[in-house]
Parts: sequence; C-alpha cells; structure tokens
Amino acid sequence: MKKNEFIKGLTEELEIETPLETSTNLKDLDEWDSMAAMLLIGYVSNEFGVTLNADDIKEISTVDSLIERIGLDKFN
Amino acid sequence: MFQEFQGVEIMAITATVPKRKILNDSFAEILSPKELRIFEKTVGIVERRWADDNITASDLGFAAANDLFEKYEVKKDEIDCLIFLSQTSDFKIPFTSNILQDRLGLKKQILCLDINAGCAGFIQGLSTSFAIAKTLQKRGKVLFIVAETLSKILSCKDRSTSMLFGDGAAAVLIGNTDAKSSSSFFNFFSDGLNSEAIQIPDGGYRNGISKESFEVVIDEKGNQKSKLNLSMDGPKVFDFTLREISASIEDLLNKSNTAKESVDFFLLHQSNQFIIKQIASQLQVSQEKALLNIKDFGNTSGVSIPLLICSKAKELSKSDKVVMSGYGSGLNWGNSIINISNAKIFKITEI
Repeated sequence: MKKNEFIKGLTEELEIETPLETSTNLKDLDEWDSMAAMLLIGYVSNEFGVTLNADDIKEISTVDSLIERIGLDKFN
Repeated sequence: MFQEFQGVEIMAITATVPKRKILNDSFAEILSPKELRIFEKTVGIVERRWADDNITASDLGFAAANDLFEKYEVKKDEIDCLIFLSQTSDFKIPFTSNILQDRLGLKKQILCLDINAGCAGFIQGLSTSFAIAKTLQKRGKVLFIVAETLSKILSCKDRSTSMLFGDGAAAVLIGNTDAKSSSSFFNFFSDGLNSEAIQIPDGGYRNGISKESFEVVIDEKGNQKSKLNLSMDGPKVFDFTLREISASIEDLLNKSNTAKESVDFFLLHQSNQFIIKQIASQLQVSQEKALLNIKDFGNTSGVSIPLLICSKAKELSKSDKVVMSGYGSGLNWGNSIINISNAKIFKITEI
C-alpha cells in the first residue's frame, strides 16, 4: 500500500476531520480515544494482517511511527 | 486451576430480561452522534435492558427459574442445591439464595449458596455447580441462578460504563446423569493485583459509606460519578482481555486434548464486539463460530453467556461441543468446554 492511500484509509476509518500527515501525532487528535484505538487495531489488522497490541497503542505517536510498527516493507 | 468432570451435564437452561429497552439515543447527553455511531461500530451495542426500580436481580432470576419449572419436567424436591451468583444481591444480610429457596418452593433439606462474582461468574458458578452435582445421590440436581441488575450501580453521566451494561438473569439445571459422552473441562485464572480496575470504591467495609461516598466527582475526561457507582479503567481491562484470554482458551484446549475443529461454537463473554472478534481471530477460528448477541443486550456480566445460549437456542440445540469464556472484574478469567447436546435450551422471556 502507498503511504498516501494508508493515510486516506485511516482518515476515513477513524472519521478524522482535520487533514492527516505523516508527522501528525494521533494522540493529539480530537478523535483519539479508546474507540478510535479499536478502529485503528481493526483497520491495521484487516489491511496488513498485523495485530497491534496494547503496548503498540501506548507507544505509537505519529502516523510515521505507526507505519514503522506495521513494517516499512508493507509500504512502497 | 484445571478441572475435568465425567457425566455431569446441563439439563435445561432459561433466561429472563426486563421488558424495558434502553436505546443508544438515551446517551445523547454524554456522546455526540458521531461518537455513538463509532460506539455501535466498535463495541457493537445498540440497545440493552434495564430493570425498573422495583425489580431486583433475584426477581429476574426467580422468573427465569419459574420459566424453567414450567417448561422442563423436573421435581422440585430433586433440587439439593441452589446457587445464586450476583454482584447486585437483595440485601447485605441475608444472602439471596436462602430467600429464593422459599420463593421458589424448594425443600428445606437444601444447600443454599451465594457467589459474588463478575463477568467470569458463569464459568465460576458452573464449575461449583458441577462439583456439587458430581457428589449428589441419584436424581439430585443443582439449580444455578445467575442474575444482575448492573443498571442500578451505574452513573448515567459516566461514558466509561453507562452505555455498556444491561440487566438479565438465567437459570441452569445441572445433574449427574452419568452420560458417557459427557466430558467437561474448566480452567481458571486470577490477577488480584489489578483488583481496582473494575470497582465500586465505597459501601463495603474497607471504605464504608460516608457523606463523601455520595459526592459526584468529575474526572479529567468529564465523567461524573460517586464512589458508590461502578468505576472501570476501560483501557486496562481492554488490554487484559486482548492479552490473556485467547492464550487461556488455547491452554484449556491443549490440557483437555480438544481439537479446535471439533468445537461447534465459542461462547465468549459479551463485553465488547471488537474484543470478541479479536479473540476469535487470535484463536484463528471463523467469526461465525464466535456467537454474538451484544447488540441487543449489552454486557450483562455473568449472565451474558447463558443469555447468549438462550438467544441462539436454535443453533445451539443442534450442537455438541462448545467453548465458553468469561473475563472481567477481579481481574478474573475462566473457560469451560462442555457438551450441550442433551441440554434443553429455552428462548429468552421478558418480565
């Protein structure tokens, strides 16, 4: 998946109203809460077959850090 | 702890819920329309039942037990033990099963026992019921009632609890039938270190009731509740379920030499649709095998598994082996593998 497609998908899935960039800290978003975390885990699992656990959720900050956790090899 | 039983079975099972439906729009004051939509999509609850003020958990359990006596042929004097499992019992003293002995017209030569347990309660209570049933004389039976009215302990202005929980009860008749086909297995786990993750802080004897107990406090997220309301550390509980449950189910499958493919259905505690689906995917079982009814009833604590069984009476009446898994306050979790092919499963009733 291309990074911009991922960002678009993420924006739709989490229903984020502000433009999302690779440097955006997800935790700073108005939309970030436990339900958003569930949406994120579900989206990443469906798209990449990667299961984010609670520690991952704690550590993830920016979109870039999320991409790194999923695995850079999955993005081209 | 690991347990194995031969020849003990669930003979019949009924469930009762209050008539009053509470829809998600009742929470419009604490959740925006968008948040409600995401809540339905993730947690998966659309409505739940809440008992009226004058209906207690034991009233729901009484109705479920009477429904069982009406629909299933059993002599009341064959019931040697009555177990009532709840966190919302009628009184502090006396314990509720003893009140139900008389209300249900059961004999005086009976063991009455209350169990205070949470969302893993059904597995804990079933294990206790099976253990007692195994030691009874011929035709002796255990009546196990699990009942909750969590609506009575919630703060309606707390987003971390109020939309999640519902009320209900179930009655389960257990007997030592000596059926050769019937093997059952249980395993249990406890993590008392995290006992504060789901708690009512005041009103016990650690922190009695004072004037401050009633004070409504607003937390950093804007949730309002008193120390007599249920409080839950959602992220901690969420984390625990995704970390521990599938591994504990695998442990039971291994110890009991049960092939995953031989299991007809996985009946997971209905706490959160997302969590149930995640556990199913961690176990690598198809989503269709992990039955759901959370949409209609929310989280009814220990009642949720028997309530799920009764709401899927049609599918489950034709099945044999099921895995059941309960997890929640304590923190505590437990699983069971039972054969339900001889169980009479009745549809949910309302009062």
